[in-house]
Amino acid sequence: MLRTKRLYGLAGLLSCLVFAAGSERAARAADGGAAKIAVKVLVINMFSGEAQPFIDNLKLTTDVAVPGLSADYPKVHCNADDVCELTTGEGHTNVAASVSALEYSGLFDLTATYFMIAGISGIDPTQGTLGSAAWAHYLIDFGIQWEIDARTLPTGWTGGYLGINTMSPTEKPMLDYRTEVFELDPTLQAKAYALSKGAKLTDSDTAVAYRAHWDISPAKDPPGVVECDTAAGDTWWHGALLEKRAQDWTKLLTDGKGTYCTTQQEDNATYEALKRGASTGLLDVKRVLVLRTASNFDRPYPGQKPYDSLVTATSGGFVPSTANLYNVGGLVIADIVKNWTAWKVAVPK
Amino acid sequence: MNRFHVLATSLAALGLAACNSDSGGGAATDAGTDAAIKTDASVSTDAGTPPVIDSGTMSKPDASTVVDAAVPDAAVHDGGDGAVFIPVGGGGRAPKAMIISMFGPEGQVWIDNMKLTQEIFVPGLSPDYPTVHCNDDDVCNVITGMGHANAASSISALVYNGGFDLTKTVFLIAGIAGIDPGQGTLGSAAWARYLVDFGLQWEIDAREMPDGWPYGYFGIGTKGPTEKPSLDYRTEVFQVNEVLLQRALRLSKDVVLDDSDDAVKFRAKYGASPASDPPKVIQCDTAAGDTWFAGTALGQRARDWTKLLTDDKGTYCTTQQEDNATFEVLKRAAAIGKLNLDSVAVLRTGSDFDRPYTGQTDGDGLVNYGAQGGFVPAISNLYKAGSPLIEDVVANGP
Repeated sequence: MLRTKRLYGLAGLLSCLVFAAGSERAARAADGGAAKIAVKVLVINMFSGEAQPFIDNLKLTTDVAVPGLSADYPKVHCNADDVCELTTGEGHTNVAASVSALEYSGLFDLTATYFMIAGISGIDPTQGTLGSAAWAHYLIDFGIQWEIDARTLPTGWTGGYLGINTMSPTEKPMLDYRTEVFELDPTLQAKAYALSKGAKLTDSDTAVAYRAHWDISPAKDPPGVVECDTAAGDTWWHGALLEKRAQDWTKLLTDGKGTYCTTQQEDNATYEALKRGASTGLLDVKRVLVLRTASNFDRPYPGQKPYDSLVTATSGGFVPSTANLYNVGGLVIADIVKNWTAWKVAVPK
Repeated sequence: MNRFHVLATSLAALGLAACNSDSGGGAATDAGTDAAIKTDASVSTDAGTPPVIDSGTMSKPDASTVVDAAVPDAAVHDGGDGAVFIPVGGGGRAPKAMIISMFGPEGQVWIDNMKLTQEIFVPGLSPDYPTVHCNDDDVCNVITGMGHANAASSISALVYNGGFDLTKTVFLIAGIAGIDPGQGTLGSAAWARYLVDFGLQWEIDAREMPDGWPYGYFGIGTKGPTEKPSLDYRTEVFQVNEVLLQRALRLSKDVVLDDSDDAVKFRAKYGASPASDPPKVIQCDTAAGDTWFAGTALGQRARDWTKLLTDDKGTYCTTQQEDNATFEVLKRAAAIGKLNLDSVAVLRTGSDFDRPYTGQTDGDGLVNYGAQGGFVPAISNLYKAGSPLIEDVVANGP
């Protein structure tokens, strides 16, 4: 068994060396042939509403068809600065499938690429508001849990969710899936925040009016750029009780270091697919940024029912949230393109 | 689905060694990008050929090096006695069958029984399961890791990086699952026609849901639990090929399935057929969700959701964490000609009930699931029910 494991390692190392040798041949052959696009920034969006602000503002007019992408979004969009955009489709399955298809396509040189996952989300009203833009440090998977209906709770449980193979909601599970929690490079995240914290954010009259239902900050304040963490789950939950679980689950999986603020359906799957790509030498998984902007609150305002907040209310957050993906993320992209000589080597001081 | 409490006590019986050497522990799991390399470094005690392997080699891009995604077909060996080779990529090999497992024990039952002793390293697989195993009949097995993210990532690596010709391959997704006592029992082997994603729903905690609702789940963008959503994600529901399904059923319907003394005792508590009967091969459908639910109310939602998404044609019976993700990647690959989507079959065996017996609570049923005795027969029955199809494919083609 030990011997076999050791050989896995050698096979992996050798595959890298063979990759490198093959790529040199490919590079030589590419003189006069179709060269790979050496991508500076790859923006990863989940649906068209998130993509369009980047496509429009960055003039991503060169389309690259990539085999295996979502049938809804079969092409990657690029510009002359080698900034590209991928739309994956929504949910864990689509993002892992689309990101994998792109990275293994052989059409892009991703070895120095910065990846910016940029999408809208629900937000915890104690951490942000409609239109807020949050750079994540930790990615928490909310889906990888056990659940029983919350009306049948054992004594002492505060909710129906608990870690898999634990005995109660307060016990930290083994991280057997390896996708439960990821930590992004703090240097890169801090740089992105520093470059974008002064961004001019878009708001809407409807959002302004809707925020006024809240009597706490930052929910009732204009949107800002913040640093707090994000929870991914295919199941799109809503309400104060499940929000509490997201807060507690984030603390549990990060040993108290993370702070939940945004909820979405993809980011741990996207990161896992990138991490797998990195294991083959295609990219550097330390170069991943996650930006989530708030299209809605994750729970009702005081006096409102969860159902009404989720199903019937119009909060006005959608338009500001999609615009602010670019308003915030675009500042980081602009700096990477402008100072590429430095960024290519490492995150500039 | 992995049942680790059971796993811990069943490993010896199955003759397995744990592969998850660095699970648990720290807060964040981003512990480097290749555990295979790390594992290697930690066990390399061969003083003669010290493999000085930098785990960063695989993940740290060198700006001066253009990395090619094409899979080389070179074979490598250990540099010592030269006796063992692990090729990188399939080199154009055309598997007759590819069995897709989600964690170690599900794969091991095939590796042992079908002597899948040839290992092929595929870049991008789970670091826990970095190689595909094959035999001389070109029957192969891949282990994806658990949950949607792992299943989609690993199957993508297989189809894009594997170096296999999959155009005539029959795929068998074969894993253990929770089972609805209204349709089967511990050890039951269920061939699925419909794959329904349980995860892609809205949820409000049942304590604050609207009055009169039976549970807090409902379709995204709908007004309530009985409204069918528009299928915007495109991964909500799939139907497998009926011809292959009927072939699998016909070939396996009379096999004698394994059972266990503990399972016999536990299923008697349910007091009604089929839960209280010995296991058999059945046809009913499967629900995939990263969240491993249990209990009467959520089990009822799985039944109702399956009916809703299949226009009443499907019948929920097994619950697991991967199959819609696995199928979506196969579908993407089929769309570009890499494989035939009509050659996919899905088999799930019952390792534990998805809800308690009368008098047991939801919570007790879930946290003590390991005591049900279904794990060992469920693993064994993957092979018992699935191998007739595999043997027929080897003998007679796809």
